[in-house]
Amino acid sequence: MKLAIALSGLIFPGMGHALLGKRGRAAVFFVVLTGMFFGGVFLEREFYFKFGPGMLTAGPPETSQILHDRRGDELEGVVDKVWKVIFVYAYPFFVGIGNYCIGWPWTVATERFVMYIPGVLKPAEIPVTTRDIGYCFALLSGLLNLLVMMDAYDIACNEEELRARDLKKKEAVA
Amino acid sequence: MISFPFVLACLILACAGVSLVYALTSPGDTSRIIKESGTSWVLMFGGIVALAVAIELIPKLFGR
Repeated sequence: MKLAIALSGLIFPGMGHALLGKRGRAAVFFVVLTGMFFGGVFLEREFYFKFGPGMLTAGPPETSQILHDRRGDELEGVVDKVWKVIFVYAYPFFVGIGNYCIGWPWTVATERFVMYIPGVLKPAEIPVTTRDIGYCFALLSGLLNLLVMMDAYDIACNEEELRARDLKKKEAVA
Repeated sequence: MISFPFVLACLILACAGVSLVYALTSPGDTSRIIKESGTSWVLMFGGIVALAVAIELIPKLFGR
C-alpha cells in the first residue's frame, strides 16, 4: 500500500502526496514539475522524436530520417543504446505518464508560439542552446519526480510518527 | 543567436524549481521551507555563476 502510494507519482507528479492528504505540497509539486516538463518540451521541439521507434536498429524510421541525417552518427555506442532504452521505456514514468502523454498535444499546440523565444527566427531553426535548455528542463522534472516519490514513500512509512510529532508541537504551542 | 536574458531567466527558473522541490521534500514548517528554499536557491545559482566565472577566468589567468 505504501509503495503503491509512492508509485502513484508515476501517473502525475505529486499524486502520492495528494493521497497522503498533503494537498498543498502535492499542488506545488504538480505545478512546478509539470511546468518544468512542459516548458522543456516547448523549448526542445524534437523531444518526442529524439529517441523514436526503431531505436535499436541501425537504420532510422522514415519519419525521423531528416533528424537522423542532421545528427549523423550521434548516439550509436552501447551505452547510448542502453540509455535510449531507459529513456524511451522508463522516462515517461519518471516524469508522470499523464504528463508525458499530454506533452505531445501540448508540443503540437504551442508550435506557432516558438517564434517568441528570443533568438528564434524560424520554427525550423531553433538554436542548439535553446534545445539543450529544454531537454535539461524535461530531464530535470523527471529526476525531481523520483525525489518526490521517495519523499511520499518516506512520509507513508513514518505517518504515525509524524502525526505524533505534530500533536506534540501543537500541545507545546498551546 | 540566443539572448543572455533568456538564458539567465531559464537558469533562475530552473534553480527556483529545484530549490522549491528540495525544500518541500525535507521536513519542516512553512518558515523553514521558505528559508531552506531561499538558501538552496542562492547556493545553487551562486555556485553555477561562480563555476561559470571560474571556467572563463582560468584560461585567462593561465594564459590560454
